[in-house]
Amino acid sequence: MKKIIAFLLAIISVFSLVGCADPGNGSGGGRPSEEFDPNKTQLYVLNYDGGYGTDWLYAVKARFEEDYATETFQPGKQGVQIMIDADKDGYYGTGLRDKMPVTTNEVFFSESITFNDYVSLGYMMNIDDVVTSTNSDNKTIESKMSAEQKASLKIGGSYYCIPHYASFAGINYDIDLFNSKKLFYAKDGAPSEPNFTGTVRYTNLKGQKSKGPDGEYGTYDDGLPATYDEFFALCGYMKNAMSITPFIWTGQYRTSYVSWILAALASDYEGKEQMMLNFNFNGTAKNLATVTSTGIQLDAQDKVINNSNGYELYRSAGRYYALDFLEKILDNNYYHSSGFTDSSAITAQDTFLRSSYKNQPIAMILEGIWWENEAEGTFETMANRYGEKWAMKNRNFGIMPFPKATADKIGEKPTLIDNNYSYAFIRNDISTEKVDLAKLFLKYCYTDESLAEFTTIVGLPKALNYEMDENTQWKSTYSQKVWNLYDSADKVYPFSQNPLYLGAQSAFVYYSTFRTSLETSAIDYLLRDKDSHTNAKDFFKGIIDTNTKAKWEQSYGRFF
Amino acid sequence: MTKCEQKKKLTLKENFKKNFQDILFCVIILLYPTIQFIIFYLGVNVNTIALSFKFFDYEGGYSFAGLENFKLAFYNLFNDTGLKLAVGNSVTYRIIAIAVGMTLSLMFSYYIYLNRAMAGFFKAILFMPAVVSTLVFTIIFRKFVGDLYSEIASKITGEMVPGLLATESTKKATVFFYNVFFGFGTAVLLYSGAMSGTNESVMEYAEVDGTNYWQKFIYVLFPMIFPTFITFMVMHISDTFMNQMNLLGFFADSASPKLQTIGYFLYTKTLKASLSEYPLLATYGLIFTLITMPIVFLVKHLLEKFGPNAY
Repeated sequence: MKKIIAFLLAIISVFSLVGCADPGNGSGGGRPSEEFDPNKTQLYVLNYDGGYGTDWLYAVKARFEEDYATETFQPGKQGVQIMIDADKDGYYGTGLRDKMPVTTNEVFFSESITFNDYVSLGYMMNIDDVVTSTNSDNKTIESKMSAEQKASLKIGGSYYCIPHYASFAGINYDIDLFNSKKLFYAKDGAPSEPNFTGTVRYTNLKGQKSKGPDGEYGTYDDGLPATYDEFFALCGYMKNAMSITPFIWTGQYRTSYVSWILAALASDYEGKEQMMLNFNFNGTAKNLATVTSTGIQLDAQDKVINNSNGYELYRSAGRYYALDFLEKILDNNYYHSSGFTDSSAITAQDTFLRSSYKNQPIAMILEGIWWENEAEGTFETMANRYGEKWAMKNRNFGIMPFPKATADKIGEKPTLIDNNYSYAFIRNDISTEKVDLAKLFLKYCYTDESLAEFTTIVGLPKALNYEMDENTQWKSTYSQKVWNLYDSADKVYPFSQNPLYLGAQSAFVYYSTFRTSLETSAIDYLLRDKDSHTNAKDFFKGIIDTNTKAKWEQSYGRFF
Repeated sequence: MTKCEQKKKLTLKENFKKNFQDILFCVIILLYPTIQFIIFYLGVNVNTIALSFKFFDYEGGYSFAGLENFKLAFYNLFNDTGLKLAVGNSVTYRIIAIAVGMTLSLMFSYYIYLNRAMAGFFKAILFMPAVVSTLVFTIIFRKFVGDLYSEIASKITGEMVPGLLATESTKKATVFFYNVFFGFGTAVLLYSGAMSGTNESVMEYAEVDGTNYWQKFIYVLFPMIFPTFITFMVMHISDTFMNQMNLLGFFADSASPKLQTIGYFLYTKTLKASLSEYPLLATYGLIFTLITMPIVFLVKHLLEKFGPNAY
């Protein structure tokens, strides 16, 4: 018996040691370490190897090394060798910040970067010249930034980092399923259509679809529900008439994932200008609401917001509509049973992708735009096992622009919120002889060619304004749909240089503000006692009651 | 220099030469823990205390904040429902851990000491959580009481039964159970070690006197291992506001405020905090240290004064 126990213990111990593997220096994306070439100048580049991978960096590396093969950056050496160090743990967020004093990397591409910290601690180099000088595409990187990005990134009038990738969450749908089951609204077959006949009709015919939320025919969102009402009518049709499960999401991380969706829904309702108030506390709030017995009542008067009354923003109507949207999904059981189990994000993606093959179709997954990259393993397995029809390149998924809360908002631009705080920067204390090389490389990564290459390889956008060629070979249909949405939307980069905001940044991360003093998980709260159908309103009230005037003044009084 | 002084000096030199290896040994042995103590105890704590009297802003750096951080911390402690719950959970869990956990670990240790049926098996099983990564164990347990329990219970009842960590009514009890039950490892090891180190002849003498198992334990064995018990008690109480009840392994950073402890609250906040948020977190830490410290010393003093004495 003792021997058996000892054996079992040994096995379990071995499993627990798996997590202690070497994080891997000078390698990345599962590639072996690269041999040091003493005849070239090395530039050490760190990359957070999450859902966006490292393939894009290897592509830049190859071009850069070739383009500068004959240049001399250090005496006695010719050419350059980009040494890539890519991994996950400790390669982002406060983990990376705490690692900065000991890491030997010189250029960084990562996420969850509280860059004001890095600048205060002296980790980031001033890169004004990188951002404002003309690149080889005759454009400056600054010209590719939005006005909000420029305003929020400048510290003391200088740039220290550049936006890296864009990242947002949303409703991702199976286009193949929508086509095969005719789940697109038909022209004049949806209540939002100008010539709606009174009978809802669905179609899969191109050119016969409704306008969608952008209010125009012939665009990427044709046939998709334009309003919340249309959306839930579609969900009901899927579930009751077609035996399709409308939604799936990760059960294990449902709190975070659903919070991202709530933030995304609220942002889409509020629009960029209103959303930025949550970070700069400077402007006029137009969508504030009060809780009533039946729901909410919008304020008759707009409210000027400044540092002293930022707490008012917790009663913005977008929050309520987002919660109401989620409550309807739960109340009507429009979700897969694994939504409240221990299923990981990968398991949810796997279930979603296999659902059509198993003939237990799931129409949509709540996920970040990186989900398809994370699910590459499932695509490959399915292709190997069931045939090429199931390979990523042969399947069609899309990201749905959010339907509008009310019909009067149809036609408004979608608004996306970027939650990942992803930036690129150069370490401040690299050796003098490498400064020019590091800046040159960083600039090289932001030419139009490099930006488009990133999007082609990763299938996802960089957080800058640039064009994609009409003849782009998209990684997948999903990549193209993400780009379509990204390109047509207003983007919220939730950051500002307001000292009040900087004083408590983690408290203002928008998706994490969907909490009350007793509940951090909106989805778990809304699931409880769901027959009452008042949970969204109660939760909204809970958010308001948690963020009182007294608490605000006590917490941030020194800023006004 | 007189001959006498010369001789004395030579003697000192000789003594140093003679003892050089011993001194070097002591220096090498003490160097690492001393440096560690200076950096990770003195440095960290001095910095924490200093931080709680400071503000940080990105333009001016650190500035003196007086008692402003304390005012805000106390305001939150008295007004923030989540924080109040976290204090309550920390204290409740500690009471359960002491009352149930310590009592049971003493009982298990005694059983192992008596070497009764399957004592070795129990020793291995109870010690397992101490050698296996806590995170791995937590994940295994989470899967067990989550999906597996749900699957089995649903099949038995014919209805959809959610996992024990998915429902409000069972969540807290499950987490408390896990922490108490899987917290035996170190305690059982040390208690049984202390018990096996006691003088066997005393126990034999007690047996000759006709004592039963309970009497032997209460009147003979427990007094002999009482110093170990005091150590555990001190460790338990000082851990009250540091323990995160493995919530991170169960719920990552999304544990409900109804479950959170102060240890978890501070850990998750620090994990995401920017520089400007550290002073308030340091203040919370200092406040809870100031609450815990006198209790630790008082309990230690009372136990030493009124506890059983074996000798």
